Amino acid sequence: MWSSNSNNHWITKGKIFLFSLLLLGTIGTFLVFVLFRSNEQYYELRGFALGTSVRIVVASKKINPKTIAEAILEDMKRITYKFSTTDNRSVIKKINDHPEEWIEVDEETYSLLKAAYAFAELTEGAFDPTVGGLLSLWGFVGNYENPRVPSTEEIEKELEHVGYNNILFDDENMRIKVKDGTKMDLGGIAKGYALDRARQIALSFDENATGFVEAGGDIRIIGPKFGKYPWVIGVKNPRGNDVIDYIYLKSGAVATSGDYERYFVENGIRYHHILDPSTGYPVKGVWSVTVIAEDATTADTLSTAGFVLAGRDWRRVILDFPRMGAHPMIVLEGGKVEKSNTFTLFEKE
Amino acid sequence: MRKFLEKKDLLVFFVFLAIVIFPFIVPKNIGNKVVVEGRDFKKILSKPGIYDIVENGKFLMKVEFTGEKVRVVESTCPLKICVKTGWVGPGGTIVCVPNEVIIYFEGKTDYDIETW
Repeated sequence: MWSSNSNNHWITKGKIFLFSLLLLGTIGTFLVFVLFRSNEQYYELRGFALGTSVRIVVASKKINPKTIAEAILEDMKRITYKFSTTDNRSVIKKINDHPEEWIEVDEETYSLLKAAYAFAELTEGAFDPTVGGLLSLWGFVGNYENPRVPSTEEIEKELEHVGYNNILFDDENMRIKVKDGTKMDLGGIAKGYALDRARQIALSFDENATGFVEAGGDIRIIGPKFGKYPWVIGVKNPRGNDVIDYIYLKSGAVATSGDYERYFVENGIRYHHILDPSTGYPVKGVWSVTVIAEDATTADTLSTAGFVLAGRDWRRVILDFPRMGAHPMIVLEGGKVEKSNTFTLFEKE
Repeated sequence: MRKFLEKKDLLVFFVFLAIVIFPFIVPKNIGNKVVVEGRDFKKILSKPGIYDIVENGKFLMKVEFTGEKVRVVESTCPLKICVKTGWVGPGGTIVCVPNEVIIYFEGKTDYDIETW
């Protein structure tokens, strides 16, 4: 035990000193580790926009991340009504309601519609922004109050107005018009565009901001986790509540189109909202298509197009999409998974 | 002569160290918690039970929470996708688009986010 002997007394003092030093050193190192690890605090905001749920997770050393997240959500709400098919503030509704009339639009609208047209051309119409009339016919608009299976005659009649060439552009005056009967619906691209905007907004506040934004399962990375690690993304099982794969992304975007997002069952048949613009009927033979791309607009449009094309020939999607900068994973009817070689590169940390 | 540091001294040191560091290394027990978020409300379900989700006096849905998983039992939405989603566990989300309700189960998962 502790002794009063002068020699031992020195040892006791030394011990206390050494103990204190060891303790402080250990705690100090530990605290530095803990503080370093939580250097960036992620702020999370959830809300509703673009007809779906939105999740914003962002961190910044420069600006309060709450400010960034709120600005992003506000912009997503703006995009929602601006490109809606029903809102009176919508430019799309205005163009749809005035067919054969040139409508002057702002730069954002013009660019987005040009992009939609370009993706329609690229995918030979598998992605088509003129399926608005078809979606209405099936009841996949607004709050899906009256979903129904239309008659063959109704579908054939509506198909006459489907086709991206029915959108006409006047580059000089930034004007757009649609042919009579054509109804645009930007549901397949607006979400991706909003996610790319979200990243821009975050970086305009702080170019070193990190995090991600998710809208209805489509994801845009703002920056790597804690500035250096990949975000781990689970791919939903289209027929379950678990995940069937993991993707590791430090940048870029990922989007999934599935037959389980909006659907109804009639006489034992499942009718979902991803319609093949060439037939007017829901695509068959596929449960989901996930696409990784550099930006969310590409991922969003090509996941829809990939779903449509996979219903016809999934091998073509696997082979062709990587050349478009899109890396697909397809879950075919029955659960068989097919993916491009390029997709597998994102399955490793 | 006595050794500078005995086994007993080291034991005391490490016990003390463990007591100091313990609160940092033990994860905070946040418990299983489900958040139901609508246009104008946010409801936290922390105890098992069946809950009516009402917004501005209007019934939207009935949610069942067991403590381990959650599901929507009934909803006023037309397609009932939220009901058909079935049970979800920690990390899971149920979205009811027409009613603009998000139900998310806060808990530990082996991924940061899900694409669906």
